[in-house]
Amino acid sequence: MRNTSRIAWLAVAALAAASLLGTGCGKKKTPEAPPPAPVEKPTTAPITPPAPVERPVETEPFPSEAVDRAEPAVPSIDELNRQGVLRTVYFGYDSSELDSEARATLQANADWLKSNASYRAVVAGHCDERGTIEYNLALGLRRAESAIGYLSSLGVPVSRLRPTSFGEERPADPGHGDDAWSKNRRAEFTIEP
Amino acid sequence: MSLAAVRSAATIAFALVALAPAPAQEVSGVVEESGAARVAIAVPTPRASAEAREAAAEIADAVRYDLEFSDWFEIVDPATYALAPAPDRGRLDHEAWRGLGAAAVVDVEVAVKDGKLDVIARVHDTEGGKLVLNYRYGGAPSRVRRIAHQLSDDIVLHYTGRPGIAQTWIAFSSRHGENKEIYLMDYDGRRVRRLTDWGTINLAPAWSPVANSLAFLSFRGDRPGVWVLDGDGRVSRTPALSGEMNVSPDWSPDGRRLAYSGTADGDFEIYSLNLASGRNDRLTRHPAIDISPAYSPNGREIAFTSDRSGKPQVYLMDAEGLNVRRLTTEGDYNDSAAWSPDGTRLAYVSRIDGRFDVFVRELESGATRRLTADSGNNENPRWSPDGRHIVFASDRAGTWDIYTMRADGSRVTRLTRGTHSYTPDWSRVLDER
Repeated sequence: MRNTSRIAWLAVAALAAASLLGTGCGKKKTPEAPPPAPVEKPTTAPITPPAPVERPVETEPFPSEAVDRAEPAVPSIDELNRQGVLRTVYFGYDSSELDSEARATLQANADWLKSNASYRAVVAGHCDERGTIEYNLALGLRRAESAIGYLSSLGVPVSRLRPTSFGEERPADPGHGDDAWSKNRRAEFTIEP
Repeated sequence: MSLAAVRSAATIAFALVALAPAPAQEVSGVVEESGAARVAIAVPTPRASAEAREAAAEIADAVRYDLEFSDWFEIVDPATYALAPAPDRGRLDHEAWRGLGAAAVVDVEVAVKDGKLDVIARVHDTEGGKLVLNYRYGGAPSRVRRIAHQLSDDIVLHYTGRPGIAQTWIAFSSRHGENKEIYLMDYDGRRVRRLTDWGTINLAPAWSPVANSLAFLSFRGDRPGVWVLDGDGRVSRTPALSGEMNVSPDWSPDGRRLAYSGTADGDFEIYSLNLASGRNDRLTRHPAIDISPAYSPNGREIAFTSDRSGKPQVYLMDAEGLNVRRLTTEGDYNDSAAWSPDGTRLAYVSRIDGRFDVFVRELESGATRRLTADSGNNENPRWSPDGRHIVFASDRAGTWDIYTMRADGSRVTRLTRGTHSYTPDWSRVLDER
């Protein structure tokens, strides 16, 4: 321990000497300008800062080394559809009318479509399994048109929305009860370029 | 596609199996249509060489099924046949067979010649003690059921003066993976084969009245539209108007037009496409849904479904779209109208307590009869070409399958099992046969 301190002291002294030599040799002396007059500061009572609030640091879900630091890319259309940025609207039995929940969903969809004006969307109407196959194809289209009509009233150009219908052919839930049926009576949005 | 193309496909894939029919026979024992007793007919197992024995048994089974199903005949119990001397190359002990209750005996010989079936079929009238039918059929062994069905139809034609339905088919849509493809089977549910492999939703095939062609709805391509599949396997998309959707095609009786429902003018309207010229005529003008057109057999009227009253109901109009009148007034959901081949009756479905059942209405009297009840959903009725049977889809056994019944709702026969099958249509009997 003592030996180590002594070596350290010697090293510091040697470094100091070297730096003095360096400045002495490398620069010629120039006449010094007079130092600026000190700015007068009015003396005030020193402020005591409030004691900081202790904040526990939250643990992060991923180690920071693993985070990809590349610039975020514009999400692809597939990603947008996967994320469900345009949400599905649901309907009552035999109905294509929009209830308050459906209108709120469409308001959010309208907001997204207005702030992402380069995208178009297919609006596909679907039915539960209880009607006839052919009438359900028509009812599904009426649901899609109903959703598009409301989006249009909110200022989304109709030209950006294409209606279609799958009738009862593509249930979201393959079950056969009220629960499944209520999930299947819907209009789904798929973003297109 | 042109009309000529539709027509040229008529007979290519379906050659007749009859070789040389015997000269016309004197018709005897002709069945009167109404209230006639069925002809008691015996169909003994054919005499056969060793290599033809399997085919012979299949012919006997098929002919018995066909004649029984036709509802013109009843089969004398095969267990009693041993009590009479077997028919022998055209010779028959008429009295012994009459003693078993057989008014007619089908006497068949089956052999294999040069790898082909050689079938000689004779029908004896035991009352008159004479031979009434004497035909020879031939074909590849794989066509054994076709040969049997043709013999059955020849027997029906002889006794009734009307074409039989044993050689007809039923086209339908059935689940295949996550999609639905178009399938074909014999009218008895045998020999099921898939016609499309398009990997999408294909629905509601409709037989052409003049050719072995099917029009149907397919989601193939960028928009759901009407496609035609010909008997030779050729496929074409029809030049329907360019709406978002064109659905539910039906042929005019002369095969020159397709009526369909499309959205070219915004909502679903009914149009008629002239296949030769490609011209589309708009038939309905109403902001409600107008779908499922069906031409009457004389081509002068079209039945269709509209919800212009608020709920889907069946309507009639002239073939040019005029004179629209509502047909169904009971219930809040009626759809899927189908004309009987003689044009006097309409079958349709009606929803009662949340389930669909098949109804038939006499157009002149307005009398309506319910054909199905208390057995799940029963949808999409279509008539057999002789007007004596109806094919339909039902989920009565859990899955959707294809069934037939007599036109009065009796004797329901299940044709498919656990297949998820829908929208059947019964082929027509073509003049070319």
